[in-house]
Amino acid sequence: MAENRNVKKTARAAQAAPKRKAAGSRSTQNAPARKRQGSRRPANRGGTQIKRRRNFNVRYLTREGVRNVWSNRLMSFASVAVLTSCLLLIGVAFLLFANINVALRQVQNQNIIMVYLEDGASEDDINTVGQDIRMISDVKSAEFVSKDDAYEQQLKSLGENAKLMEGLDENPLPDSYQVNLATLDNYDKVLDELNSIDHVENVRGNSDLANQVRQIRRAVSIVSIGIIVMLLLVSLFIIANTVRVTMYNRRLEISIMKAVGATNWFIRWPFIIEGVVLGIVSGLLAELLVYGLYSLTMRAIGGVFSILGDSYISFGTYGVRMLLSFILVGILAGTIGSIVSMARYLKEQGSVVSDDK
Amino acid sequence: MIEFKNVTKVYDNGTVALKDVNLRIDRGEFVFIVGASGAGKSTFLKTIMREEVPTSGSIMINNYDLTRMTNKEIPYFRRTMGIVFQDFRLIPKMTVYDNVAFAMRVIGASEKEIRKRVPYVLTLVGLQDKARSLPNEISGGEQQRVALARALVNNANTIIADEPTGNIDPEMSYEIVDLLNHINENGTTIIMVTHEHELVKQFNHRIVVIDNGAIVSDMTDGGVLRYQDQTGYQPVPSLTTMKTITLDHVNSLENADPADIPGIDYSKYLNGLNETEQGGGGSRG
Repeated sequence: MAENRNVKKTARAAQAAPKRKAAGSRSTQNAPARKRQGSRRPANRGGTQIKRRRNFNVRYLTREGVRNVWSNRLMSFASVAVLTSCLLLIGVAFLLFANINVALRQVQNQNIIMVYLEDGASEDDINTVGQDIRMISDVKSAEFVSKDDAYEQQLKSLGENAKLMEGLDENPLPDSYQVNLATLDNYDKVLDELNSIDHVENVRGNSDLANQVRQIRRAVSIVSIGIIVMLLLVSLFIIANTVRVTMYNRRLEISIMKAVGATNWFIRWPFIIEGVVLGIVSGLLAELLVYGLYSLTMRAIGGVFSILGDSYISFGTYGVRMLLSFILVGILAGTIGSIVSMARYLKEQGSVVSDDK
Repeated sequence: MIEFKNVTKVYDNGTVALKDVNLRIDRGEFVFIVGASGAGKSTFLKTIMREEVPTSGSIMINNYDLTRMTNKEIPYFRRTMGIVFQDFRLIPKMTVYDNVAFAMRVIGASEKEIRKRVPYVLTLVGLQDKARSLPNEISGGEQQRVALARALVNNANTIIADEPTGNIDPEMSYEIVDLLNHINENGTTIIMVTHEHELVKQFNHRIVVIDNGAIVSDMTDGGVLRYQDQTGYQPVPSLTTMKTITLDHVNSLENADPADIPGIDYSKYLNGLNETEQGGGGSRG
């Protein structure tokens, strides 16, 4: 076996010999051309030197990046799958929280504060109170309900029991304002402020409900941000890992690149592009999946929301923004993941001179 | 030009890989670096390629100060150096042409420049007819020539050859060194690390012997055999008149009076050389 190989190689050597001579003579002919070597930056030692562009060959780098995805397709597929799942979860979480938010806002809108005025307040007083109420920053709207209107409403709501009111000589109900708040965050403070307005007899609002709604909203925000951040980190980790595998597969090329003097950025670009491509593909897939899932879910349980008086959020409201943020997340995860992987790799491995001697 | 001044490299684990190395290699020289495994050859090459920075001392190569260089400058410095390895390091999926072109692509050369330059360099190493072959379709010697073409393609003025004949048949080894000779004749500095003493003997070049992280002999400067002692390099008195030094001359040291060679035990290397020679001859027969 070994002898065979030797024979073959000797034959090759014999073939190669005349060529080699030819090469030798040619090299002497071209001596002046060969002399145009020189360190590039500090001193250009004579002769015409091949002009070397320092700018990137964008097409080459992009092609390399896309090639990385393909030549590493099993790993790419795996990471697109996991990344898509992450983005899908992020999207589902987001839509869930957005809907919870809308539902809570409806509860909030129904939670009006009644501001009762002192008996015998003049029309001017009433107007002043109205203005004062609207001056308070969190107040969204304030609607005047006169004594008589209130009485009518009361009669209506009592229905058959309206007789109960007949025993009364005069209308016992005071003039009032129905106040809607934009946010419940400062509910108690607003109540105090309303109380302190002149000619206000008393203020009635459901402080407990307001606090509960507020706490639920805060919890929902924290949980949603937590989940989304966690999933983002997972995405980052997945891309970084994929890029690391690609880099391991390409360590020979990287070591050659380093040896011949490729800049670190030139080495990084294809890997960053790989990460970005994975990110964009996953973003598009996740968007489609979220859309499909959401439509199906809402067709099934959308009726629940109409009971609450308002319909669920349509996908179109957030669709474009979600797609953009998915792609942005993909690009960021790709870039950061690649850079993180590269930083360690370029420092620790891909050495120019081998150690194994 | 390459100049090592009092270069010492101590790794974090305490290994002293280079001990106060002083070495000057002028432009256009051809130098063999000879030493056993673990002698410090790898570290020597790593410091030349600026993969490792010496713990103390300074290194100047091609007007770059390697000890004060910023990381940004490293790629540009490396473009002045070409390196070939024992294991060729050709990319298996790429043709011979693409392997050579790769070195130009990754430093941002245009396709036009590549189309002009690569065929020329392939002709230089005698592989113009193999441009479309894949590395596994050609012999070891040819693969090393591709690697050499890749080292040359960016106009490096110095070629570092790290055991370039280690994976090649002895007949082909001679051709590789011969090719390096041709390249050297055109003004390129060649530094070839090897442990094949038999091969080294066939060429009339400067030989630097490294052992235990120190240069123990440097046959150079118009044939002055030097050795290193506590005060630096000293010419070996009995050999100062020689014009060229080959290992045959080193062998003659065996007959020299040990008193002429203070502080150094050359017999260790001489024995090593002889053994290799016998071993090599045996396998050939």
